[in-house]
Amino acid sequence: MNLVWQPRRSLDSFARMRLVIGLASLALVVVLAAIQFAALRQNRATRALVEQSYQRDLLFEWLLSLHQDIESAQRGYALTGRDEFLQPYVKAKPLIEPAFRAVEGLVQEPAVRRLVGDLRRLSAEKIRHSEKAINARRNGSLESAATMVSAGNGRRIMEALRGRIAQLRAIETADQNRRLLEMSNSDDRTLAWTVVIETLLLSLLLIAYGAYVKNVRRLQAVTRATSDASRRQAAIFDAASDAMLVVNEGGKIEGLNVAAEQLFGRGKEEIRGQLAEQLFAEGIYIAGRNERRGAPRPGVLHHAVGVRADGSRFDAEMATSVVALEDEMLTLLVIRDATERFRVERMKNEFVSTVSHELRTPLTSIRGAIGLLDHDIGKTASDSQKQLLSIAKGNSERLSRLIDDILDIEKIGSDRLEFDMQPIDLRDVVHEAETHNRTYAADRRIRLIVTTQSGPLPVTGDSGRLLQAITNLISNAAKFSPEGGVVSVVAERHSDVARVIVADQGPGIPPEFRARMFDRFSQAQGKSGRAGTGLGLAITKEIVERHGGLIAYETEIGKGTRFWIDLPLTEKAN
Amino acid sequence: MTRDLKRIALVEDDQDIATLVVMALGQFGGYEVVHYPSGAMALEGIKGSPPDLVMLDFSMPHMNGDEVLIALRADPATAGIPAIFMTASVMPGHVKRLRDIGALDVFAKPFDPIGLADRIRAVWEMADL
Repeated sequence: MNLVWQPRRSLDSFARMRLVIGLASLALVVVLAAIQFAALRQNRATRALVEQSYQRDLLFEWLLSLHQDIESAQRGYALTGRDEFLQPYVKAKPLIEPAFRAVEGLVQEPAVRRLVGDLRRLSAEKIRHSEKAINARRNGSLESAATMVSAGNGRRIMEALRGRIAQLRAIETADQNRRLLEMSNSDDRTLAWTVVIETLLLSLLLIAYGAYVKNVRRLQAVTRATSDASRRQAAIFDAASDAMLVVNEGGKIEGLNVAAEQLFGRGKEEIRGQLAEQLFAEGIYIAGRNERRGAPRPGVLHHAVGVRADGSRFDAEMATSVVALEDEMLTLLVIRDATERFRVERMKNEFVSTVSHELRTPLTSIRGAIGLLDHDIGKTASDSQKQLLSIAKGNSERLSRLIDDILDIEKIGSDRLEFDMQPIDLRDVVHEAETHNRTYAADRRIRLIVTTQSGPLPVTGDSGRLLQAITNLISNAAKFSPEGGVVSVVAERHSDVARVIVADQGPGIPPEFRARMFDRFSQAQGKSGRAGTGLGLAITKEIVERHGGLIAYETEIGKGTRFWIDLPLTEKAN
Repeated sequence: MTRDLKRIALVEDDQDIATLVVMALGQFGGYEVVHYPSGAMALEGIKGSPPDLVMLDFSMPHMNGDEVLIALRADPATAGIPAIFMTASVMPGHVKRLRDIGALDVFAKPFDPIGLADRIRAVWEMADL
């Protein structure tokens, strides 16, 4: 499945980038808004101060104008004595106090307040002087009034007053200019920040766009690669000579290839959507549907029986693999018509079975006849007759073992080796195996030492088959032991298993033979007294493993070999 | 009390094996053995002269040993005669089937002719007939 591209990682990085850019943009917009809002607030406050300054300026100008009205009215009346000259005076005088109050309400700075206080004092002085001059003219003569005017006191006060107002207006003008400059600077700063932030935003936008374009291109490449891969796979799928079915968790067939159409004798449209179980009489496994059976190992062929459109059945070999997708599990079934193979297999098994049975019948006669002959004439026969009888007897026994082993191997191969499982004491089996091998060991002048532990070794097993396994190990050990050697057999509890150890003092197992030692028909080259069938260890291993046990060995060239079998104890050791 | 075992009917199609069994059982057990080479002949002969025990070969032409035993069991005159099988196939399933249809024991072929009489006697005594 290496054709399938996995886009998860780069999509994630794009999503991450999108998130970062989004958050950064948002933060920049917030900062920009905050800056502009602060600038707006400040400008508004400054503008209010500037407006106050304008108002004060206007008030100062008005105060000057009122005092000028008072001055000119006073002068005109003093010189003419005509009441109409007093009219501006009468109008201006009551306005001076409200004008001052208005000014004082708008002045906070102490220096300015002091100047305004000065102005108020000058104003009061000016009014007092003017009133004095007007009263002098009204009560006295032109001369006294003219003297007061020409004395210049009123003009001096007026000059001082004008000077104060000019000073105050200059302060206001300076204040206005300063604040306007401040506003202008603030505007410039805000503009600069706005430009910077908007440039950043634009950059982020460009980066995001670049990433988007890149991602789109990558997705296009991925889509292309995926579609190429799926086309390639579809081609492989359809070109395969084995039938293939893709089944979903519901057991329905989602896809199939041409070979499947041909194998089941149905069209694609007919099969697609059907329950896979309808195409098989046995041997089908679907992930998520019949979990209890346990998933077959991937790549391992197992037997299944398929059903064709016409209802006929066929033997098939099936490989099952489970494809775990993000949100579902699919099962891929690869099916091969194995009708012919199974037919040949059955024929072979029948042939082996028949031949072996047919061989047993004459062998029964031969062994029986030799046995009776040996019994009848054994004692009186000459040495050469005894030797001939021994050869005939030994070889008929060997033939008998060979047939037994071949039948066993055939049963193992076709999975027909039966076991009669009973609760047994493994020590009994070991003692029986000892009995079976005692004569053989004695003939070869080999000492057979059997040690069993005092307590029972309870296992669940087929005593006949276990006897066969242990006998095989002992006779192998005896066969490869030097004359006068010792074969030791130990049966004991080992942790939570029953262990039978068979050790010899033979030449050890040659390294090149070890790998195929448990294969069928493999025999080590050696000085053999009793030729074996080469099937013993293969059968022994099968028997042990079918009992849930294991067989192991250690060997040393020139020293000997130690085989042991471990079988699960029925009652665990205390 | 165990009845005496004297007369044995042997149903075996292979003449050589039959000869060996007759010799071995006569020589080492002192039994009188009547040999029938086929199932049909055995059914007829046994009905006419019932033995104490029947030794049946399993695999025979026309009529297998199990069919012979079923036929013997079906006839009240021969239904009670104990039987032992001799077969080349001693798979547990096969042995169990033969015991289920009434076999006392199942002997594997090839057998040791010298110990055969002793084995039969042991089975006979164990069955306590």
